[in-house]
Parts: sequence; structure tokens; C-alpha cells
Amino acid sequence: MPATGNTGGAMARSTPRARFDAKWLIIGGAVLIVAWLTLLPLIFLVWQSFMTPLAPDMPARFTLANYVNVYTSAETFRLLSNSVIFAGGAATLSLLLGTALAWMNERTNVPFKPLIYALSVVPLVIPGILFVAAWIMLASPKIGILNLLLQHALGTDAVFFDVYTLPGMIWVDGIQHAPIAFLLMSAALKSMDPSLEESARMSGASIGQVVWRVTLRLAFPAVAASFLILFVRSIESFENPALLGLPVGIQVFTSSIYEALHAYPSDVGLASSYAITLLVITSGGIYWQSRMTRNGSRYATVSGKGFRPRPMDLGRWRYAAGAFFLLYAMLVIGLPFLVLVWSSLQRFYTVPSAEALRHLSLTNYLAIFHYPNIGMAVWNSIVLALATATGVMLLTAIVGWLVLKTRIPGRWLLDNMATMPMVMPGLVIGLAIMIAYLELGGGIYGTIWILLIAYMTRFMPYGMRFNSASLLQLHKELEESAALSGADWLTSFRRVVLPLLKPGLIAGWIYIVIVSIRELSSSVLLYSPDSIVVSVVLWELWQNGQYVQLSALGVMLMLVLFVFVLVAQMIGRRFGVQEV
Amino acid sequence: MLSVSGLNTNYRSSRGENVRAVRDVSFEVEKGKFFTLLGPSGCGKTTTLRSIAGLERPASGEISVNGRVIFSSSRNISVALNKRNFGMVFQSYAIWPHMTVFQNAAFPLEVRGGVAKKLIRERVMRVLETMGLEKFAEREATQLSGGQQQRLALARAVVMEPELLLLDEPLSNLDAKLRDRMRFELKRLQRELGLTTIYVTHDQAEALALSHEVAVMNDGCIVQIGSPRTIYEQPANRFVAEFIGASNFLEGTVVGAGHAPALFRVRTPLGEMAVRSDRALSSRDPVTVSVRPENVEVLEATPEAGLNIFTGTVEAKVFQGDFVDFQIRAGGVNVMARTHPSLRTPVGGSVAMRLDPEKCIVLRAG
Repeated sequence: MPATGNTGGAMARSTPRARFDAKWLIIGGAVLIVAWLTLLPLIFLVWQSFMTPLAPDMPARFTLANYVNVYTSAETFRLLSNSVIFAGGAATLSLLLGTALAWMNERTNVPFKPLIYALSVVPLVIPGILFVAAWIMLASPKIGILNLLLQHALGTDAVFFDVYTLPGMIWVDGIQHAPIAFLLMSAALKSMDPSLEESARMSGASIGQVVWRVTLRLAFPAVAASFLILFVRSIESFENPALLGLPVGIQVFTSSIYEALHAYPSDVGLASSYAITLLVITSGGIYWQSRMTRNGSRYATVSGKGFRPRPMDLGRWRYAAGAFFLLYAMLVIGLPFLVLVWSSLQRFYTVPSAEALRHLSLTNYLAIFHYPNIGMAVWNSIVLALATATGVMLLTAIVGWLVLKTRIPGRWLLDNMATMPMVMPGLVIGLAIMIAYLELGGGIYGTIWILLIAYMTRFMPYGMRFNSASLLQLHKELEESAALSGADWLTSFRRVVLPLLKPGLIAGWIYIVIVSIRELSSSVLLYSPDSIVVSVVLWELWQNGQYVQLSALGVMLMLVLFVFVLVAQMIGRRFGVQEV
Repeated sequence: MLSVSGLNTNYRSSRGENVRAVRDVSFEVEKGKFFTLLGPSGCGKTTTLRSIAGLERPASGEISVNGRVIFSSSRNISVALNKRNFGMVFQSYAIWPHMTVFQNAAFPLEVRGGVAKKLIRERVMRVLETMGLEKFAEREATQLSGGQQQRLALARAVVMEPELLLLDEPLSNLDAKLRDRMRFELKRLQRELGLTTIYVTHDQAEALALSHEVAVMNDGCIVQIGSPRTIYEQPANRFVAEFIGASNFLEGTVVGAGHAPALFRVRTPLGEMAVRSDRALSSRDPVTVSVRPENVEVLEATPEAGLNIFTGTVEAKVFQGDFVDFQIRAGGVNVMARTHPSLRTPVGGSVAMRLDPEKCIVLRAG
């Protein structure tokens, strides 16, 4: 038993049948579930992309037509260039903003630092669809508040901002993802030996020279890796291209997949070929990013005694930097939230004015409670979020343990399988699972179970990340001494490993609950009236043009999520959980 | 010349408490001298150094170098750290991994501007030569060994001919053999270049070997300033005696004036003994007498006459190669003695010991 030779080996020998006890059942089960979750949909997706669409009167046949159609069409190249410009632009914008914010927060005496806490937590609780909807209300050419206010103030009817353009899409996606860039770059700056910068200052370099010649050069691997992560995130995003691009015909891969499926007759084969193409791009990005990160360790330097660097004095630029901080907080949190609150209190969507102020009402909030299926949607969302978070964290605890703490052959494959959904956009996961369970039958399609499967697949990589981080700090001796004390594998896993993983488990659990409730791009392909979830209700409200009800539901959802995060962190802090 | 007066530096700990890391520290270093701040970790020596460098902002005090005030809380002066013209070597060396050896050393001259490219090349190569690194100039800095990185850090610190050289435990990351060699190197370089140098270390042997003057720090304050010999031979209090080398401490009471002007008689558990004190002592003062183990002379036969001769039994001994440490039980206390390995009295055997009155130091309380 080379795999887990230390755990209960002696016992297994004395009672030969004990070898096939709960331990192997659990481990084998975990491996099977991971393979089932990731490989199955992928296989069906690839299969479908080579097949004609399934029709009642005709069986599916092998064909290359899907790929021929995709790769010989000029449309595809427009799609590719739109996608690359959109994702590249958004990644660049968010990286610039995130890096500037991270640098100011970590290295300078910029005022309003507590805001950073809000900047890193609050965007987490704003679902993508609400953020985009809020920016439509702010900057659409016809009803955008910013446009109307400027037009009113300047007495013109010129359009100042237009979100229904490629730059508009880039802007919204860029500021939406900047908090991720901020977190990535903060981590990179924190891990840098501060004396590298201090010695440059001592050598006579000005702040600008230090940033340009030392900090940014050293952070280059991190900058490049972050860019790739952000690029993949943006090319995967669905709400933004769907809400901003589709109405004006600016297509990217995700919106085209959605359109191909929702056209009549729907073209699953075409959607699959698009999905495979998109998968190739995202896999390339993530592969390159992981190589970059590995090579980046060349720059890793032994840190001295961990002196927290004294913040650099920005002098008279201090308040300019502070203003930038405030402006950014307004753009990502303040304005979107305020505009949603405002519109949620209106009977019909109106621009703020003294007149409109007199018509504030809570009608929309009451109307939401009478929205068909709303109770079902809330219940489904809660059940799905809790089940997904619990399932994923337990599953990845076992898988992570197998990958990191044993020497079973093929564990790299298991690791890759469990983290593979990282490169799969939500829409692609939704599509692949849809195809798989339509083909397999079994009555799962159209029930809440298919959503659970989709969510577990999608969020498994997050679980792996949280659990591996804590498993890496767990010394082998702790388990070995449990085994020597006479505990079998199950007991030592349950009483030693899991309790020690608890901080990571809780943090990951909270995170997955939140992202599950926000999840839209898989759900939108898989829901049925019985398995509707809150994010899909938001989507339907938008499709129906019920902006004010959308705002009301959105405001309530954000407040609930925000309170959940606060409470979870308060409880979590007691267990020594790092902030999510 | 460096002058620091009334320096106080605080910082906020991770728990949010205000810690007074440096308290009322004052000292002066003459031009070209090697001055060491010595103390255990957390004593404030590094914070003092970083305050001089400009990496920490002191709460109060005044710092001036060669007559130029670089920090003064009362006059609200604080020269930006990149305008101070000090060279500094960090504990981690802080060699920039994205530059070559040459680029690392040339950085201070480049960012200052005003030096022609050719002149930069000349000056950098000259410094690299001094450090024995000229062969590696075009190599990636990360390919250097620990000792070479250390010399590169030094080259970078001195290339701009700084007014002050600040060294923050530069030898602590090297292995023991290399550390001994670098100690000589460092001393030779400092004397050659004649740079006023402030050195921070917790290693007393380094401090004694390198410095013209040593300041021993504890709990944010300077406890004693003096030449290495004074610090070692006449520690001001028990902390200094304990921190620098090993010592025997004997509690006792003053009985009266001794034979010589600076000698007093003290009653200790060993018996009455003559001790040295620079300050006046009066009868019945409680004192602590400190004797270094190498100043305890162990004799196999008791001499006829002499000062401070006591007898005892060997309790334990440890053979260390070039010397033997004896633990001798006498008068209910243990006395450590460091002797020549030729002394072979077995454990349990009785011996005599002679404590040179000049080397028996009376410590101030505290």
C-alpha cells in the first residue's frame, strides 16, 4: 500500500478485509465524482461538436460541418477579434487600476486606506448582471443618468458616454474586475522583500525611479500572470457582452454561444464548436499563466527580518492619490449601488430630479414578493449554494489530500481534473452539461440536480485552491502520529486532518456560497420553471424590461449577501479564518 | 562625523500598540570611525540605524552628519532619504535579481544623474575590483554565491562615496567560515576607504573584532558606550557583562576600602575578596562582582600567600579542544573557569583558584 502506507497499515494486515473498508470507498468515490463532473461533460461537448444536431426525425450523424462553418466564416474572425479586443482591453484597464491601487495601498501614505477593505469585499457581493445593469442606467446614451446630468448642466444634447460600444464594454468589465487585479497585485507586492525597494531609495532614487526601475520590474512575472488571469476572466464573462454587446450586434464568443442556442432552431453543434474554440483560448491563457508563475520564482528573494516597509511619503501628491481612491470607490461601489437604490424606489425608471423625488415608493419591493416563482427561486438558490459549498469543500478536501499527501500514481491527473473547470467558462460548462444529460437521460435534465452538478463542476477549482493552501501547511507527522496512536484512516482524517483544515474550509465555504448565489451563465442554460434561481429571476426581469423591479430585487440581494459576508467573517475570525 | 542626540522612534505594533523602540539615544561618531550598535533582538539597534537612514521617521531628536542637519524635530527638518547620500547594506543584501552585477553597482550613480556613462563604468569597475567581483560584472546578480552577493551589496553602498556607511547585520546570513573571513575583509575595507561606518549586530564577537567603539543597547536605550576593550573588561552593569561573553556573578557586601586606591574589600560566598571599582563604595553596600572565566586561574596546589585565593572541588569539566571549562564548587556557589587543556584535575578533585583583583569588576545595580 504505497498510497497511504502509514495509515492503518498494521490493522489492514491483521484483518485483510479491512483493506476495503470505508477508506477506499470514500477515496474511490471522490475520484469517480471528480472524473464524472469534469470529464463527462467535456467528452459530450467534443462529441457534439462533431455531430449534427439531434432532431426528432433524424439521429445525430458525424459531421465536420460545425467546424467548417465556424472556421470558414468571416463572422468568426470578427468574433475572435472582438473577443480579444474586449478581453485584452478590459484586462489592461483592470490591471492598470488594480496595480495603481495596490501600490498606493501597500507602499504609500495615501489617505482613506480603510476604503480598501470595502473595495475588496463589496464587489464580491455585487452580481455581474446588476453591475452591468447599473452601468446601463448610468451611462446608456438615452437614459444614462451621467449623460442626462451633463446634458442638462451644459445645455447640449451631445452623448458623453455610451456603454453600448466596445470601449463601453471594456470600461464596465475593466472596472468590475479591477478588485481582482488589486488582490493579485497586493499579494505580489506583499511577498516582495521590502529592502529591495528601500535599498534603491538609499541609493538615491526618487519614488518614481524606484517604482519604474525596481518595483515594476520585479513584479513583472506577477503582472504578466495577473494579466492572463484577467484576460481569461473577461473572455469568459457573459453578462457584459449579453447586456451591452448583443443589443448593438457586438458579438464575442460567449454571447454567440448563447445566441446560437437561443436561435430558432437552436444550433447546438455550432455552439459547441464556438465553445471548443473558446476553451482552447482559455486553456492556453491559463497554461501560459502557470508557466509564468513557475518561472517567476527565479525572482523570489529571501526576505530579511520582515520589516513592514514604512509607507513612502507622497508629499503633495497624497491628496491627488486620495481623490483617485475615492473616485474609484465611487465608480465600482458608490454609483452602481446608488443608481440601483434610486431606480428601485421609482414606479417607472426616471432620472433623479425634484419631481421624481416626490414619487419615491416601495411598490417595487412589494411587487417582487408577488413575482411568480420568487419563493421557489430564493429557496432553490439557498439550497444550491449551501449544498454546492459543502459538497465542493468536502470533496476537494479528500482530493487535495490525495494529491498533496499521498504518492498514488496518477495523482497529477486527479489534480488536473479537479482544477480543469478553471478554464471552462460558465456558459461552456452549462452547454456541456446540458448536452451530456440530454443524451444520457435519467431524468436529471430540468431538475435542480443538474444545477447542483454544474455548480459543483464550476466551483471545484476554488475548493481545491482553498484546501491545497491549508494542506500544504499540514505536516505529515500530524497524521502519522495519529496513525501510530492507533487511529484508522477515517478517524485520523475526520479527527486530525479536517479540524486542521477548518480555517481554509470555512473561508472556501463562504466564498463558494457567495459565487453560487451569483452564478448566472451556467444556470441560464440549465434552469427550468421548477429549478429557477434568483440570478435567473434577475435575468428574466432584465429581459422583460422590468428595470425597477430588477433594481429592487438586486438591492435586497446585495444587502443580504453583504450581511452574510460580514457575519461569516465575524464568526470566521473566531476560528482564525483569513478574509475571503 | 555623525551626531545623534535625544533620538526617540516609535512604531505601531501589529496589535496597534505604540511601541517606544528607541528612547533618548544620543551618541557621536568621529569621521572615519567604525561604530557598532550591539544588543539582543528587539533592543532598538536596527530602528536606530533605520532612523539615521531615513527609513523610519523619529518622533523627536536631532541627527546631523558632517555639520549638515538631516533630521531635527524641533526645527522640523527631515531630509528625504534619497538625498542623504548614505550607503546601506541590508541584512538580506537586497540585491536586485533583475539586474546584472554591474547594473546593481551602477544603480546609485545612474539614478543620481550628472555622472557621464564612461565615468560610471570606470568607477563601478574600480569598486567591483576592490571587492574582487570584476570577473562577474556581466553576470546575473542571482548567480552569485552568498558571500559574493554580500560583497556586491557593499560595492553598491560605497560606489557613490557616501558620507556614512550603514550596515544592518550584513554577516548574519553567511555560514560560520565565510562569516569569519568576511569579518576581516570588512575591517580592511573600512580602514582603507576611511568611511564613517555604523554597524548593527547582535553578535558580540563581531562587534569586538570590528569596531573602534561599541554602544550596547537594551530595551531601546544605550546601556554603555566604549571601546571594545572597555566594554569587555569593565562592563557597566550585569546586562552588559552577561551579553558580552560569559561571566561569573558573585553577590556580596562591601566591607571596606582595600589595599590600592581603586580596590575594595567585599564579602562574597567565596569569602572576603579584593575587587576593583572606579567609583567610591561605602561599607555595607550590596554589590555584584563579575569575573570572566578566563580570569579565574586554576591551580593544583594552593599558593602560600596572595590575594583572592580560594579552594574548591571540581564539579564538572568540559573539554573544548583549545581549552577546558571547569566548574568549581566553592562556598556554596559554582565558579566557571577557563583553563589551559594541560590541567587534568579529575572531577571531584580539589583545586585552588586565584582571582586577579584587577579583573574582579564591581557592577552597578540594574
